[in-house]
Order: sequence, then structure tokens, then C-alpha cells
Amino acid sequence: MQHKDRTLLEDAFYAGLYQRHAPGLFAFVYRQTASREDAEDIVLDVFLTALQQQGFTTFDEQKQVAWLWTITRNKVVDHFRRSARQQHVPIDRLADTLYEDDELSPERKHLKREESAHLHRALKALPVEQQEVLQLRFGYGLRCTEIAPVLDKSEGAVRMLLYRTIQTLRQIYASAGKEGRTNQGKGEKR
Amino acid sequence: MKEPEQNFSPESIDQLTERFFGQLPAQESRLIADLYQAYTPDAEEHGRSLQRIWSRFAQVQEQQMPFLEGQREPGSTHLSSKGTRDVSAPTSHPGAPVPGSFQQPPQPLPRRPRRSLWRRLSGGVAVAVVLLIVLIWVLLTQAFPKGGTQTTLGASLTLDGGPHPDQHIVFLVKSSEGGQYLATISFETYDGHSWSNTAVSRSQLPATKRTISEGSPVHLVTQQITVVNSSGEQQPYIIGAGQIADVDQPTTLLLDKTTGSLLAVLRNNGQPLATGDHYTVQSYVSSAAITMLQSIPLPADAPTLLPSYGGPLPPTYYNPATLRAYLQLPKNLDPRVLAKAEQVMAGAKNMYDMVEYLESYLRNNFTYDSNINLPVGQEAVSWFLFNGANRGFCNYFATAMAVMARELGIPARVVVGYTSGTFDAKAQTWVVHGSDAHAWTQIYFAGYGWINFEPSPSFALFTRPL
Repeated sequence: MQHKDRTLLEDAFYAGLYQRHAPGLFAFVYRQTASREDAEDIVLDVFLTALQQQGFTTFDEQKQVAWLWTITRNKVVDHFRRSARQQHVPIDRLADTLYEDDELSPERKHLKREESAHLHRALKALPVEQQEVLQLRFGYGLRCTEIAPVLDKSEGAVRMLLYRTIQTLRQIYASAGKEGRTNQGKGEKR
Repeated sequence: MKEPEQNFSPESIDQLTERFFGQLPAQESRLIADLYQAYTPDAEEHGRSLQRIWSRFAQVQEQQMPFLEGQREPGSTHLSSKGTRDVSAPTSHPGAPVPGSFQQPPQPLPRRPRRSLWRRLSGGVAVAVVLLIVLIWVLLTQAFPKGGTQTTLGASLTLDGGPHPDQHIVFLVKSSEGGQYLATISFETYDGHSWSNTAVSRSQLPATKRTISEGSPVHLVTQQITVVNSSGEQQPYIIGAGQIADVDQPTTLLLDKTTGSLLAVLRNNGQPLATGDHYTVQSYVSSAAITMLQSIPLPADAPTLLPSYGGPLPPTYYNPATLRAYLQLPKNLDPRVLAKAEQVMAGAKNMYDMVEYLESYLRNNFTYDSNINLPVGQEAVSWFLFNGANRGFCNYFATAMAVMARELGIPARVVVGYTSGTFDAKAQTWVVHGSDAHAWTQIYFAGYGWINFEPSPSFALFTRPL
């Protein structure tokens, strides 16, 4: 029955589904496989599987999400079985992808340079886990509920982790603001 | 500076770290802005990956529906020639490389032998279904070519003489949020004198289901609508305050075939709406603040393109299909229209400001007059802007704004429906008359979806959070 009246509504359904869940699923797979190409293949495969799954569009949202994550985890496992090379994400590479130079982005010009210089140093000095949560939140735009399965943590743990990380960074900004912006390094605690 | 320690808590951390939360003290919001900035390279890489995956997925989907291509009505073919001329040209195929991304040839599709049988089986049935839909559509559009007495209602919107004022009450509306315009149908394709939708598909929306919002942030507005007099409305359009989310009865969605955008909603039982009919409808109404919209770049400046529907993706991506459809322009449009649009938007710092300049230009330099005689064979916008003695009514204002925006590479469309009507405080009800029939302009902002604008003078501007 699902097959017969495949319609644009269904296309819209998959577009919506993709928009809601692909960012998190991709983040998860990329973190596991450490290969962007492999991650893209796997996530594509997951959504194609959903496209073939009879009655998928009639599942309620919760079931759809659970289904997507289960399939994704299975595909990642399959991938490792096939490729027999298990890598973990080179997370220490993350900090290097940050903008080093303010000139790279014109938008930065109105921002206080010293604070952001502080921020960049501080980000690189953060524990890997905190860097990861920042990347997922600010780079990939994921919310805590979406970050939780990526990091394999509870939502509460993710909230606390993100909260603590932000608090640490806030102190850098607070001290830079209070004590004048000449006082470099003060807020850089870790 | 006060320490808003209590503002940050693990529970509210999602909201507080939203890109445009905008309620934090300066220092905190700078930190958040800096963090987004710092992770921009990640965001872009992530976006490009998501775009590549979606392109490949869309390719497979398209292969599963080969009949869609062949069934498109002739009128839509020029969409891909003229309409794509600047911004979206490099992305006219779903699988084409995304500008600014890695060189990626169209991916060979994964082999999935199981599906080919399925595809063949479903193909035949689907072709029949689509033929039937097209047939119904043709019959409907033939039967009600102009939607009755109102020029602003129907399956197309023709720019001609003024509307016939109709003082009958058409609807009574109880709204969870006062003063909403009521949209009937939106139009994609402009041929120089009328608006239409060239590639429409229909879908059933059961009373228990909800459409997907094409933008965010949005909030739901609930309206209870009672039909008093179905004045000239031949099709059973369900009206709503924005993109309709759900209706308390089964309905048929009219969707733009290429973008999936919701154009209109029809009541299912086939009967015209009649006196005494009532329904409850919920609509997605944009909550976007002006500052948010000002942060959205023109499609030409957007770093990469992602599939439609905004949502949680970084709010600077445009769906190529949306650009193809909503940057369409008639062939041989008077070059003065572009020149005028460029002149008007001079000095604008962002897309939102450009659009606002267009809006105020029309509001301030033209007079609302429903006694209009467009000479036969004239392109309406050119005539209105340069030869119409600076007079026109809503259809002309809405069309001029949409066409000028499209000339500037800004996705735009025209919506017809009704203004909010007049509020009867005693009954706590909005009273909508036939003479409240109206047309206005919507501009598409990446991530935020379709945003209302009011180019007609003497109508109130849309209010937005600042």
C-alpha cells in the first residue's frame, strides 16, 4: 500500500526525516569510522534502507528514530567487519580545523580579537571530550538529545558536560571583560 | 556587568547555546557567537557531507519515480532554462557537484537488486496514479478557470482589472493569535500576466497527521473557521494562518512537485464549502526575528546548498529545487525591471534589507487603486512599474515585489487569501468579508522558510519580533 501511492508527500517525509536525523547519524558514523567517505556511504545506505522498509512512514516518530539508530549501528558494525580496520576518530585533529586567523572570516572583525584569541587557545587546551561536545553542538548544530547517542552518553550527562564546558569558557570571557583586555592568559584555565 | 549565573543551567543549555538566542548578556552572546564562528569549518564540512548524501539519496528516489519527469506539464519546462540563469545553474541536477564542495562526480548508485523488481511493479501503478492526478487537476482547472468572481482565488491568478468588491461575510475566525492573514494558495510560476503552479502533486492528509514545517522557528496558530458565505470560491480551500500543519478532517494537499512545498489544502469530500461548515486548522507561523532574517545570505552568497525545509540545518543553505522553482522569470522580461530593482536595493546590507527596500519602494511610490486596465499583451510588472501611472491593486504590488526580488536572485512567490478582517471584540471573532480577499508576497529565507511581506500601501506591515 505504501508503494502504490508514493507521492511527493512521501518525498517531503524523507526530506524532513533526513533533515532531523541525518546530522546526528552522520556525526555518529563519522566519529566511528573516521572516514568522511565511508560515513557518507553508510548514512546513505541507512536512508535507502528506510526507503525500502515497508510501512516505515507509518511508524511513529519514536519508532522511526529507534529504527534509524539501530540500522545505523548495524551498518557501522558491518562496515568494520568488511573493512577489518577499526579506527577511532582522530579527535586531536579537531582543534586544527578551527579558524586560526581572524582574517579568514570577515564577520570576526566586530568581535573582540583578544577574547577570541583566548578562546582559541582555550579550546585547544580543553579535554577531548569537551572539544567533542563543542564540535557537535556548535559545528554540527546538534542538541543535547541528539548528541547523547553520538557520544554514547545519557542526555543528562551531555547537558552537564556541555554546561561545564561553557562555564569554563565563560570565565575566560568574564575575566577578559573585567580586567581589561590586556590581561592575557588569565582566563585560560584548564 | 551582572553575572547571570542562574541563566546557565544544564537544563536550558540547548536554548542558551542556540545560534540566535539573543537574550543573553553581551558577553555571553559573544562567547556563543565566537564558538559558532570557531566551528564554522566543521559546520561547512558537515553540511557538504549531508548535501552529498542527500543528492545521492534524491537520485535514487528520482529513479524510483521516473514517471515524474515525463508527466510534467509543458508550462514548467522553461523553469529550467530561464529560471536557473544565475544562482542555481550549477546545481540543476540533484546529483551535480555542490559549488564549493569537493569535486564529486555524480555517484554511481549503490546496486540494490532487490529494489528493481519492486520498482517495476510500483512503477506501473504509480504511472496510473499520476495520470489520474493530472487528469483530475486538468479537469478542476478547466472547470474553474478563474475561481469565480474574485480575481484572487482559483487555480491561477491573472493580472487584469480590479476585484469586484463583495461585502458579504465569508468567514468567521476564532484565532489563538489575532490578526493573521489567511492564506488560500501560493503560486510559483509567473508568465508575464498570470501566476500558476506548473507541477502540482496531490497527497492525502488524514486528520491525524501533520505536515512538516518548511522553516523554523515557527509556532502553531490554531483557528476555528466558520464558513458564512462561500463567495465565489469554487474549490474547497482550507484557509490557514501560514503553512497548514493539520486540519480536524481529512484533506488533500496540493504540493509543488519539485520542491515539496505546500501550496494549498483542499477539503476532501469534494463539496464546495458551504454556509455553516466549520473546521479547526493549525498552521505554522514563523517566529523569526528581523535580526535572524538579516543574518541569512542571498542564495548566491550561501556557502553550499542543502535540501529544503530549513529545520535544524545551519540556516544559510538553500535547496536547489527551491531556487529553480522560485527564481523563475518570464522570458524577455523588460530589463528596466532589473535595473529598477538594483537601484531600489542599493545600500542594503543583507537580503532581508534588500527585500524591505523593495517593499517600502512599492508602498511609498505607488497608489492603491483597484480600477486598473492592463493593456492587452503587456507584461504586468513592467507596465505597473513604468507605464501604469503608479497605480495598481494588491495583485500588482505582490507580483511586482516577487518579480523584482527574483530579478535580484531572491526566491519569492505570491500568495492569495484574505487579510485578517475586522475584529469583533464582543464575539472575540475575526470577521472576514469578500472584500478582504488579498494577495501578498512571500520571500524564502534559508532555514526560516517562507516569510510574509506586504508591498501594498494602506495595508499594515507584518509585525515581527525585532
